[in-house]
Amino acid sequence: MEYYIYHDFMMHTKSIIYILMGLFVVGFWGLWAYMTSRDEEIHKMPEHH
Amino acid sequence: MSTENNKSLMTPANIITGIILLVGLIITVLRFTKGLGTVTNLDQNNPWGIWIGFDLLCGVALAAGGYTTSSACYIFGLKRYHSAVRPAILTAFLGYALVVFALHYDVGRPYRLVYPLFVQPGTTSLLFEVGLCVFLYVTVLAIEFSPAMFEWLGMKTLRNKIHKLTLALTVFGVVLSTLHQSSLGALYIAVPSKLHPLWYSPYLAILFFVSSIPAGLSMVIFEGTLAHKPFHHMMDKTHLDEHEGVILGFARGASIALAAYFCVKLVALAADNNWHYLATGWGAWYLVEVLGFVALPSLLYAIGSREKNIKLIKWTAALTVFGIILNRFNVSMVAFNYNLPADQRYFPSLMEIGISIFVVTLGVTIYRFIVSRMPIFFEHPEYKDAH
Amino acid sequence: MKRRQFLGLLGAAGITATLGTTAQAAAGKTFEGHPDTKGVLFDATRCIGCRKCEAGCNKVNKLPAPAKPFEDLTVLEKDRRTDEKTYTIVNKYKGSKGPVFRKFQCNHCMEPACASVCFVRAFTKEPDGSVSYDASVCVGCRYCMVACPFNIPAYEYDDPLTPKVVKCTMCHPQISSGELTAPGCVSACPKEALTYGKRDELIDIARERIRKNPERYLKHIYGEKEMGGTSWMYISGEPFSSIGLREDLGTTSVPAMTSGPLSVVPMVAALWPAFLGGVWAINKRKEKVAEEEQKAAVKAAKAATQADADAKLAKAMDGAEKDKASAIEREVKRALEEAEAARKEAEAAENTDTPEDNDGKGA
Repeated sequence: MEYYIYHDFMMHTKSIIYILMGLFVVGFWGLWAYMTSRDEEIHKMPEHH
Repeated sequence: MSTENNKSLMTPANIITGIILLVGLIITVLRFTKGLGTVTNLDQNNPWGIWIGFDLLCGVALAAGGYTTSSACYIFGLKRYHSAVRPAILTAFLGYALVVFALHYDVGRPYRLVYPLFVQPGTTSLLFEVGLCVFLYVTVLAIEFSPAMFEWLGMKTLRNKIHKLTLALTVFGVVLSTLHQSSLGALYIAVPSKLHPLWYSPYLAILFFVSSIPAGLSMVIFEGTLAHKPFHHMMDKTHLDEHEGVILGFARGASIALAAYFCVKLVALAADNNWHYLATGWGAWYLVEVLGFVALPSLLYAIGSREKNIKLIKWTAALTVFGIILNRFNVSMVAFNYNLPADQRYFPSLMEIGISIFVVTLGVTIYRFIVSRMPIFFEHPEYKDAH
Repeated sequence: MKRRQFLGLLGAAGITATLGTTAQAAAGKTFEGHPDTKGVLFDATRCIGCRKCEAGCNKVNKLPAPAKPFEDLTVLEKDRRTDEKTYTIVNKYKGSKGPVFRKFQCNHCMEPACASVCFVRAFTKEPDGSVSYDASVCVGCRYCMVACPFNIPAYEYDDPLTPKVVKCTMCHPQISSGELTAPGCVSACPKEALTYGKRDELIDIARERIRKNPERYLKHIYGEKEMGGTSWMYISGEPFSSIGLREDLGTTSVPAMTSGPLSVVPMVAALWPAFLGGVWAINKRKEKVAEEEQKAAVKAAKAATQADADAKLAKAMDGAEKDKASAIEREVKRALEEAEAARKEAEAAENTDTPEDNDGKGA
């Protein structure tokens, strides 16, 4: 699709970027959960203070 | 755990609260039957008044204590501030909830407030960014706060499940706070022609974010000071023992954060070569803000924490809070539309001020209700191990 | 301005390397507007302030009747702006050669500020050049009014629950339905002060007029570049700032201004969790090490105490044994001494009684 004005182009790219941001958050969480799932200590007390 | 209900309800504080709430309700009816034109001094040239300048901008900035305190404790490993986390999360949650509540008065069609999220998102707008983050962050804060409620209600399993999410919620909360605190400043990046050059800057986003840190830290100190006397009986030994350490530590943090904010302010001034405006009336007002309410509190905090002068720190916290409010007022109202003739400038109506006071009072009332019942200032005996 | 602004933000966020330098120019892409986009040229030297355009606008858009009839020209004495009942107004200004009039309405920006800041996409830059507004999604936040550099959008402040934003539509609905061929105001103008046509051609026409009559016009087309360009443009013989058109707006469009902060947004989402997670992990590790060190120290201390205790015990035992030995020795010695004493006593008794018994001493 061709964009004639910068605003329309931005609306397109920023919408994709917002979706990506959602994926980032889920991805980070998933990666972390996977990485630490066998880590007994961390698994038991993930946030521990 | 004696509650305030045990005493007579007809205390002077309660009577004043009641009057304010009653007046607020009357203005509410007027707002939703006669419209913004009747209740506010807003006009075609001044579409945003104190409901945006105070309720939204200051509300969000002063609720920054939530993410600053929880990240200090859970991410940066400063465990000695643990007893300050719950009160800070509660204040932040109430702050944001009231921001959203107050927006229902300001926008024309409050029943459409979810449209930007679920109907037609305008992703090029910084206000969309603010809306999305505030929506998500209110949710995060509600979850972060919920263990206190579940402990109070005795719902153990749920409480323990949520407690495990603390780290994830804290990180997510910092991401969201960074984004919307800065985006609130970035709202004004679109209006270089309306905002006075001393307050307009391409760095507005960073200025708003950086200033939210001392704002949040100062609010924790300020609020702790206000709550200490009336709720002393609700505070456990840990809370009371850590109280002074929290004040001294937060004073240090706020001093450095204010110094950093001062630096960014100077850079913003230099980057646009706006020095010559300092010699004007606007410049004098700008200097009052930057020297009197940024540089001075930074110095006073430093002195206070060095001399272990708790009283000085408490007064400085109030000064800082006032300074942040002043800054947000300057950006959104005082220096906004600076080029319009005086008779076309905005000044809030009594009813607008009334609603703002109503919203704050509502917040204080809910706060009092919660802290006198739920484990905020004390650790629930059954969950001591978790702390 | 835009480049510096953008770099400033990046620099401050410390992520210059991540994004490169072309974010707001979209990697060499240029955006020239919709092809054959339309616009209107206003010529201030031709306008006589008759308010016919206001009347024409009011009629085709079926707007409420004005407080004072359009024939009443006394309203020109006051500085007016568009409002919730008026899409366009004409104002009178003092010129160097008598009064000058200037019509004002939505300028239909090439990169509209209102569209850029609207969080529900209520505004659209149409291919015909107009900026349209969709009240069916509008929340009424009024950010469009804040952002508009020309102070054009107006708001129905007296409507409590269904207020709309109101502004000139460039007669987009009527023109696209074929009801009109040009905006109502343009058709109503008796002096051809307004020209409707393709924007590119309007710029040519404006240049031509300026070139042919250099004494009549200033050499500037207001709106050709202001705020990224507008569809509604102005030429005048008086300085634009003296006819109420700000000359300090610059040529940067609002989308270009906001692209800096917007480009930092995903960086926060991408980098902050990694950074904060790292800080947490480092602190966790530190705590663990400290904990282990503490454990080790406790162990060592315990061991040392144990050894000490053992030594003491050994010493005590040793001492006790020695004591015991000496006690035995003492006992033996005493027993021997007693035995010796007894023997001597017996010997002495024997010696006195039976001296021959001396042999028996070894028995």
